[in-house]
Amino acid sequence: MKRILNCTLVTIALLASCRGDDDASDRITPPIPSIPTPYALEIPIHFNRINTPIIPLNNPLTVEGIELGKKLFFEKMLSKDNSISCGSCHNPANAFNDKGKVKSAGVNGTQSIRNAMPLFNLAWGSVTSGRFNWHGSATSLEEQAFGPVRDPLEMHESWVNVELKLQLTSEYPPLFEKAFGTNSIDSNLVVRAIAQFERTLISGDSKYDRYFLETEEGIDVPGDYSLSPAEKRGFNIFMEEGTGDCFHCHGTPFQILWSNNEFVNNGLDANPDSGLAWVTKNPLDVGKFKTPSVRNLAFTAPYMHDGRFARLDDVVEFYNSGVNENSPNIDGRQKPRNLSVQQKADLIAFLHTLNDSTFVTNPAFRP
Amino acid sequence: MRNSNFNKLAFNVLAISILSFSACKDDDDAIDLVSVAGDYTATINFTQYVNDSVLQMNTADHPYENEMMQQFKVTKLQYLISNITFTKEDGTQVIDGGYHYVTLADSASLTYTLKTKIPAGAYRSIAFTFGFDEEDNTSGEYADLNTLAWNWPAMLGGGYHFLRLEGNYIDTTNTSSEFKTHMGTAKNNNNTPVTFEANHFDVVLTNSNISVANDVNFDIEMNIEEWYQNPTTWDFNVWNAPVMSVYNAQKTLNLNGPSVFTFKK
Repeated sequence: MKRILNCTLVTIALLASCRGDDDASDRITPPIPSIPTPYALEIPIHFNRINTPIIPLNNPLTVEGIELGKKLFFEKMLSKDNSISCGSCHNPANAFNDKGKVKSAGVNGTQSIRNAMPLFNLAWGSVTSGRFNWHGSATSLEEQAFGPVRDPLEMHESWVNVELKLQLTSEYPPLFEKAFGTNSIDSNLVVRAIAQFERTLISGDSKYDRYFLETEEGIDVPGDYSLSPAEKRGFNIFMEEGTGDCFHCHGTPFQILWSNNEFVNNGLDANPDSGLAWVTKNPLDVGKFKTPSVRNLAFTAPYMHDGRFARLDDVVEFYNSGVNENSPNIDGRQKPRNLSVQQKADLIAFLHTLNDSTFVTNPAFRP
Repeated sequence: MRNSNFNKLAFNVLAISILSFSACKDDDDAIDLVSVAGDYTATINFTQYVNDSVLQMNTADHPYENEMMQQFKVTKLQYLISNITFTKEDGTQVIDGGYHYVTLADSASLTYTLKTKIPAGAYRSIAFTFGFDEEDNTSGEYADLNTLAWNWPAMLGGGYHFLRLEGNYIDTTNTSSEFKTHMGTAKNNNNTPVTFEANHFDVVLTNSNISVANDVNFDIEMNIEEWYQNPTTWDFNVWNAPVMSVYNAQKTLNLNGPSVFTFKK
């Protein structure tokens, strides 16, 4: 960010000095290239408890880049028949999940093989496993954004066509000019803009976040965000190795993201989907999927990579009694938990303290 | 992180640099600020063995045996050491005030170059703390460890994990069962109210006397079987998982721990 600022200053200085030397008023002045405005992520103070996101050097955040990225995120021209956008399956009101759909529909109603992932706190993917998608096929947000456009089960469009369609509009070329200094639209710039927008999708204002700010950061948050007895008991179950033992994968209060973003086989099936092994070709990765955050669960049903569980109760019961211990590469923590009805209810009560309604209603994330 | 020692050292080095710079100035206009002669880089390689064989992870079978003749294999190994200390013959110490996290999932973590330079001289021993001592084991303090969800639950005394050693062993029903040897603060339920006991231990590496006249490079070898013996024999059938909240298990790791590490040059 500092570098861009310095560049900006140098450029301005050069322009200023040139101007003084040039008295010929009839000479045609070359257009002053527009310089995008550097943008600093608005990171909640308690997110400083974890490592700072790494922004790719070739894709610094800018106001214009983010604005363009948002427009492209909701742009239906990215699909073959101009019928769906990224936002069609990643709805801001559902923490960017697909409005309760088990598997999302692509163009012509074709069904995807996976449940659409919710999108938030993705900027920190760079400081955790560094892999995106349920099966970890992309190693950056930019790379991730290339996939759905050309996937026959999703948008089923060629990038050449996307570039052409956008280029032929009157509105997009100037926006690319503003964001990237060129009006020549290229797929690399499209995914960079989308990735910039995605990095701004920060969710950190749940009840638990406010409770954490008060209790751990010593910040006085107006209102009462103390945990109820049930929520406290649920938290203890989450954090106890002997009962829920959720925290080894889904994070701790200080981990903030509430997922370590690692890839694990949680024992859904005796013959699981290849998962991460599809990417790594390592048999030890068969059945491993990205550990999702337990933030915003009220908005992101159904659950699991294939959306098989409609309700949070189903998920908790699966971990409690439904794990298939014969699944290959199953994580050793997956075994019957013998939680009581009360314990399960308490655990769910705690999980709901991580719902962030500010995030799902934020107008900055709407088209 | 015992910064005072580190700062003192850094200040001395700086002072020496300035002095040598000004002393040389008249003699040599083209002098470069170079590192002080006698300051050397120390690099540690972390190696892992079981019963004298190099650790093989994620084997199909259970190739290792503990003192109770229980066969086991290892699927995960992560650990934390801090405050690596070089002690001179005269007792003065050079402390690398910081921590290093080792995970066998990332080969880069198996090598650590100390942030502190080691002055030339003869050292009688190299030591380190396994885990964090009370002063350093502060909940939520370290961003990179938080990112890894390496925190130790507050209900068990908080701070951080020191060790995650996981795998499978053959249990009494001849079945491959999981063990999760996690170590951190020990919660003592025998007291009312419960107390929390710091559970780090200091390791003074045997035969680690070295003379530093160049950059140094050495191995700290973890002998995994030692976690489960010497002095107390560990029974996987009793302590498989969970052990984080089991006071006696935590104290056993603490007492077995010092013989786990050996120095190799």
